[in-house]
Parts: sequence; C-alpha cells; structure tokens
Amino acid sequence: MQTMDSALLPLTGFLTVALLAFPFLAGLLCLLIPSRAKQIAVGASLVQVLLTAYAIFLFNINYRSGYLANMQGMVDLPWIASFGIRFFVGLDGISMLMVILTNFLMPLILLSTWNREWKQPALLYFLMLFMQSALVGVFISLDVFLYYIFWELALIPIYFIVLLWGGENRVKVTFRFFIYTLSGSLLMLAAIIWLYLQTDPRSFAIGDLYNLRLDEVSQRWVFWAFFLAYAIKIPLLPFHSWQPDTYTTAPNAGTMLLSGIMLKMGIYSIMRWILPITPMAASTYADVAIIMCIAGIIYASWIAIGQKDFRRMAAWSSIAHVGLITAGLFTMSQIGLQGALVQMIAHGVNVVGLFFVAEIFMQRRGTTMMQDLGGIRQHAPVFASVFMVITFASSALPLTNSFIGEFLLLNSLYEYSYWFAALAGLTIILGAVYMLRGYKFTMLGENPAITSFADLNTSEKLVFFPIVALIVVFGIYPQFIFNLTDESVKFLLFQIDQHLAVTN
Amino acid sequence: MSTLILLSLLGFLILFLGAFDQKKLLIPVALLGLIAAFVLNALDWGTNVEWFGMMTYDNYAVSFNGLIIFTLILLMLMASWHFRYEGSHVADIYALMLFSATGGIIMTSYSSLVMLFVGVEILSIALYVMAGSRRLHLSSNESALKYFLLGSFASGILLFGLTLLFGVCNSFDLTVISDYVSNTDTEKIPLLFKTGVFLTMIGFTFKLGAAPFHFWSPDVYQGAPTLITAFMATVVKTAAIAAFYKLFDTCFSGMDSVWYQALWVICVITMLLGNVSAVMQNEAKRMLAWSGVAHAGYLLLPVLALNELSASSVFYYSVVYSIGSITAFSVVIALSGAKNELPIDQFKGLAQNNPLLTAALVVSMFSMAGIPPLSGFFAKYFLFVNAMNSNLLVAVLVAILGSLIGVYYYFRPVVYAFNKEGNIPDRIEANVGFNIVVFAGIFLTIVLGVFPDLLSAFPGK
Repeated sequence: MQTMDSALLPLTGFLTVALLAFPFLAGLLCLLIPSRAKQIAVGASLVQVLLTAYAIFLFNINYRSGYLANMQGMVDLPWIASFGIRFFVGLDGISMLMVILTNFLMPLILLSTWNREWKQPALLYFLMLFMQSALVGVFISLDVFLYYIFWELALIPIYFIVLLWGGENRVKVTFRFFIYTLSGSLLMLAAIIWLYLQTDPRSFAIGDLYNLRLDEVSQRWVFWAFFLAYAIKIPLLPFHSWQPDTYTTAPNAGTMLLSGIMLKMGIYSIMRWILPITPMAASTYADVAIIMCIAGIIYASWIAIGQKDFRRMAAWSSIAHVGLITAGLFTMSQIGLQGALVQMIAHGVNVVGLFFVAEIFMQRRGTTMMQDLGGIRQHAPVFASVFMVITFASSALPLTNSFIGEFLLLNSLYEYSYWFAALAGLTIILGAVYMLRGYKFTMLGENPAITSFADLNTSEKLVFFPIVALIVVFGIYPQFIFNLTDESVKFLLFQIDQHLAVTN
Repeated sequence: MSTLILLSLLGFLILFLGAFDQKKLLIPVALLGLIAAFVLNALDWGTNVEWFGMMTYDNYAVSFNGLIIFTLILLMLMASWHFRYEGSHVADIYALMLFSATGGIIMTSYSSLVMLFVGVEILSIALYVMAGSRRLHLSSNESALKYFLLGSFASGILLFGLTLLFGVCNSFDLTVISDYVSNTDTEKIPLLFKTGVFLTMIGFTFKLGAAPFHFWSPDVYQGAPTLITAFMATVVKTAAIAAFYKLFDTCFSGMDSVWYQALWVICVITMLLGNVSAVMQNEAKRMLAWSGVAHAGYLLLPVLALNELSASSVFYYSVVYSIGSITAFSVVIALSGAKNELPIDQFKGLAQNNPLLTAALVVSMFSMAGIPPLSGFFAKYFLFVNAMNSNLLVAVLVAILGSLIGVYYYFRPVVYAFNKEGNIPDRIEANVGFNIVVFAGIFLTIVLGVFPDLLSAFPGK
C-alpha cells in the first residue's frame, strides 16, 4: 500500500484485467492438460495471490479520483456500443478488499481438494478457476450490466460443481438453488433495465447511476428488486431455505466457494448498488431489513444448536453470521460499514476453515454426523488445536478476527437502536453455544468406535495454518482493512448524505 | 432477385441430379449453390432494388434472406448424415428444402400482398410434403396431414384477410395501404379493413405457432423427420416473423389502437402457455416445439413495441434462436439414430463418451434459457429493453417469468447428460459436415454472446 500523495496512478488497468482473466485462462490450461490439472490449478491460484499482492502494493489508499473515491486501475472500453454497455472495471478500497478475499481464499480452497480422488478433475478445476474469474469480475465491475453478467456467470460453475460432484439428492437441490437465485437475479435485471432507461444519456456506468435522483416511489421498487436478489443470495430469512441443503449437498470445496466468497457478492452489492442508488428507500426499509437479519440471526442460531450433522450446523451458523453483517450495513454508518467489511473477511476465513474441518471428518470417517464422531482429540492433537482456534474465531472470542468485526457491527446497531443491538447480541452467546457444542461432540469425550484418526498431513496443514494465521493476525491487527477501505467507505457515506440532502 | 432465381434453379438441379442417381453430388452442389446465393444476396446490400412493385430487396430483406440461406447451409451440412438411413428419395427432400426457403425469401422481400401470399404458399406446400417424407411411418404421415389441413385453413384465413384489405384500399401495394392507414382517422377506418387486419394477424400467428393457433406444432414437430423439424423451427419462424413484423411496421403501425390489445393478449398467453407446457414434455422434439411456441411469444414483443430498434432486436433474436435451435436439434439428431424421436431420459450419460455433443447441448440449452454471457441472454435482453422502451412492463415481467420457467425444461436434458446411471450411449461418430455444424453452433452462440455488437448493423434501415 502506498501512502504518499500522488496524482500518478501506478496501479494500471492492465493489472486489473490480468486479475480478472488469469484464473480463467489457467482453467482452460487445466482442460488442455488434464493429467496435471490439480497442480496447474493450485499453482495458478498462487500466482494470482502474487498478482493480488502486487496490486495491493501499488494501490494508493489516499488517491482521490474526481467522482469515484479512490477508484483506480480503471479500464473503460465500449463493449456493446449500441446499448451503451461498457467494459468498465476498476478497484477502490472495498473492491480491493473483496478481490483480496477471493484470491487469498482460493488457493486454500483448491488445496483442500488435494487429497481426494475426483472424477474428471480437469473439469472440476476449470470450473473452480472459472468461478474465481467471475467472482473477481463481480467485485470490480463498474458498469452495472457488466456486473450483472459476472453475477450470473458465477452461478454456472457452482451449479455444475454441485450437480456433478455433490452428494445425495443433488439434482433436486441444485435445481432449487439455481431457480431460487435466478429468480432473484431476473428481478434485479428488470430493475437494471429500468434504471438504464432513466439515465440520460443512456448509460449503465456506476457514476451515472449514482447521479440519478429517483423519486421515493421508484426508489422503493428498485430497492426491493435489488434487495430480493441479494437477500436470496446471502441468504436472509425468509429466503434461506435453499441454503442448508445446498451447503450440505455440495462437495466441501463447493461449499467453501459458496459460503466463503459467493455470498459476499450479495453483501458487497448492497454496499455498491443499493445504498448509493436508492438511499431513501434504504433508510425507509432499513428497519425491515434489520429485522429480517436479526430474526435470521436468532432463528438460525437456534436451529444450529439442534443440528446433529456438523456440516448442517456450519451451514446454519453461516446464516446467523451473515445476518449480523447485513444488519450492520443497513445502519448506514461508518462503523457499520467498516464492521461489515472486517467481518466479511473474518467470516470468509472462518467458514472455509469450518468446512475444511468437515472435509477432514468426511475423508477420515466418511461422515459428519456428530454421534459418529467424538474423542478425536486424543488421536489428532494438531487437528484438535487448529479446530479449537477456528471454533473460538467462529464464536468471536477476543483476539480472533471475528471479535473486531462483531464488536463494530453490534456497536453500530447499538447506535441505531438499543433493542436491535440487544437482540443481535444474542449471536455471540448462541454462537458460542453451538460452536462449543459442535466441538465437544466431535472432538472431546470417548468414542470406542474410533480407534485411530490420522493427524493432519502436509497439504492439510498448508490449508489450516494460513487460516489460523489469518485469524490471529486480523484479530490483533485489523488496521490493514481499515486503512484500505477508509477512503471508500467515507466516500460512500458522503454520496448517500448528498443524495438524501438533495432529494429531501 | 438473382438470389431468388438461383435458389429455385438450384432446386431443379438437385431434382435432376437425384433423378440421374448422382447421390454423391447432391450435397456439394447444394452447398456451392447456397454459398453463391448467400454472396449474391449480400451484394444486394444497400441497393434497394425494386421489382415491378412486387418485391423490394431493401436491407431488411437482405438481412433476413442472409439468415435464411445461412441456416439452410447449416441444415444441408447435417443433411447427408441425418438421412443416412433413408432410401433413394433424399434428393426430393433437399430440393423441397430449397423451394421452401425460396418461399421464405419471398416472404421477407415482398412489397405487395400478393407476393406475400405466394411466398407463404411456396414455403408451406413444400413443407407439408417434407413433414410427410418418412412415407412409411405413421407419425410422419400424421404430422403431414395435420400440418396440411390446419396450414391450408390458416392460409385461407390469411388470404381472406388480405382480400379484405384489398377491398378497402383497392391495392395490394404496401405503400398504398400504409398511406391509407396514416391518412385516415383510426375511428374512420371501416370494419372491413379492421377485420382484414385481424384475419391477417391470425394467419401469421398460425405460421409462427403462437397461441391460440399453436396446437399443430407439437405433433407436427414430433412426427416430421428431425432435420425438417429443425427447418420448421428456424427457417419458417424467421420468414414468418420477418413478414409479420414488416407488414405491421409498415402498414398497420398507425392504427395500433385497433389490434394492439389483441396481440398483447396473444403474446402474453403464448409466452406462458409455451413455457408451462414445455415443462410437462418428456420427448425432446415436443419439448423444443413448445419452447418454440414460447419463443414465438417473445418474438411478438417487438411487434407490439414497434420502435426504431425493434427490427434489430427481431433480427438478433432470430439469428440467435436459429443457431441455438440447430445446435439443439443436432444433438437430438445424433442421439436418436435411426429412430425419429428421443425421450428426454435418453440424454442420460451423454457426457461420458461424447464431450462435443455435451458441449453443444449445454451451450444451446443455456443459451435458449437465457443464461449470460451466451447469445440467448442478449437476444432476450434486447427484446426486453426494446419492449420496456415502449412501456410494455407487464409483458416483460411475464416474459421474465417465462424464461424462469424455461430454465426448468432447458436444464433437464443437461442434468440427464451428466447422469452416470443407466444405459450410457457409446461414442457417436458423425461425418465432417455434421461436426462442422456442431462446432459452428457452439462457436457462434458464444461469440455472438460476448460480442453482440457484431450484428448491430442489421437489418439496417
């Protein structure tokens, strides 16, 4: 990160496009050399990490471009000129953070597949890398149409990953998942077309949409069309019913993609599109949205406590956690937005850890049902300690990454409404209950059926140790995230205030 | 005009080659002739040649003619492999395809209602015969008979409508009719003329396969030889919508308060009925027939919108839908072998030994379901934007709902293809021409999706 003030932008559009295209090209290479697909995929994701690190190094946190905060590395080319659609991408602090999340989690997710024998591995790795490109695309698109394309594009690989490598009932589950998310997306598409028709001259570019001053009624329609799409994707209560089934049917790597990165698309999109374009409707319906979130937190935590399957428990816990993040967003405050960003990173890291734990159970014992596990700690001490750290992080203990995020989010809710904060605060208590319960039933006690349980091997350590490191590092020093996103968040809030000031 | 002459002569040439038993020459000659026709047609671009007030080769006509000829080239490339089980009379079928396409070209280029009707008849009569060209099969005969009875009835209605228009305007000329409509108060237009417009509309919706005049299409699609089904789904639909749009855009746009609501209802019902019925099909060709009904509904949106971009959205949609259909039907042709139908569960295990066909299936189905960034998505998108521009919000929402339903039946074959249980088809070896079509289908569907602007110049003004 460069801190000097300079008008010169070292982060070029070329690097942005490289970040977007490289995983996809590597995926094609996997298809061409199927015998080495695994190695190519992991290697490519590591190269992508280096590219991202280079981008972070070049990123200027103090830069201010005229109309879009510290947006840099921009590329703006006509794509479908007759409809005013542009290939318009760029990175501000928020996008950069999401790109970092995607690209740093990806090698871990790919490595988590290392020990398993897959049918048609080349196709699997192609789809995963393809998905990485689409996810990066969602986070860097500055043209709402381009954004929509990537948004839909991200759905296709995960659909096939679950369909081809998923567990029981995968046809039904994937179908429900696809229809659910697609119906949300199509509503969003209708709203996008409508927004486009309001701009003059016609444009999909983010700046033109931000400058739209819609009247309150239209804002409400647009808000709900967008918000439903995101509420399904995240998912918020009552649109969550696809999630537990999909998370438990998908292969664990697919679940990591879904929960670690893909659902962040929804949260990110609320920040990027809903809040600045329809701030009036967002403040009108903030209460509704927050109530949906809080109901989700309590309900999902409650269900999570009763789960017998470790993976289902993790799936439900994810609903609870993202509910809190979304609630923080709708307070539309500096603390809330910052907290959401921190917590998105934390949740991404932790949930990948949790599902990798599930994968280990799956590989060693062929099940994730809690009654068939237990007493593993004596056999696998390293695994037990790592799992312990992840458990602590998921229940937001101090010095772990989630603590900072949840603290900020609850703080913002407290400022918004005392009661909301009190209810949402239950997440910490309930979270501790189901996480510790999950740990107890799987790791502690005695289970005579389990006479041996191999400890972590090298490739598994290579996944777990970075996760533990990230948990601790961000738990102690979250400043990195604040520095990176501070300017963008301030600008976002400034945009919203200005909009509200003009329209009121 | 030279295109038209060349195509009809080509048909005769093929007939003679068939008569002298030159089976090997048929396809090469047909392809060469079609390519020549494509070039001749392209040379007409921008010239606006008129022929005796009967035909006008404006850019609109040239664009749609190009599409029809291009589609025919793709179909011809598949033809020899598809008809490998047929006996000696394939030359007749090829010739009939060429004659039928000639009719299609007249339908896109007419400037007199007489030519429109002649075009419709040339297209249809050849088609009735083609639908029945599996002489010894019951379903093919049923298909031909149904199509003939209903089709000739619809032609009669169309003709009746056209004569009523003539009765009021005293001319078949498009410019005269459009002058009459634009110079007369809508209230003062006589009932005779309005009836004529409605009857014409009914005739066209029959040819398009739009509800409630769609009942022939599933049976006819299923019974006809698969290649002919593909011909119906592509060339016939393209010609019909081109003619329909042209007539309503040039002549009747000034009096849209008369027919607008009726067509709106037809459009919405077609979209819903087509999509919902397709869900319930268990046979691939019937499913594609019902999906074709749904597509006819989408294609009516620009006729309702009638703004300056409608023509280009019709054209783009026709291109994309033709290519998508041909790709989809190519998979059906490959899998059905000697049989003429294909239950959807026969797609099971396709992915195991046939990667190319699987890719074709996935790409065509996803494209028709409207998944970005494939061309089918943009085709729908352009239609929707175009319709929204003309305040057709409700119809667009219905269309969106329809495409959501569409995902269900388009995804079913794909899901089956990746299913590993049951009888897995062996590797299917096709000839070069067939593989070229499959490749071209996949390639064009993706390229037109990533660069939809490639076609933005068409059909031009």
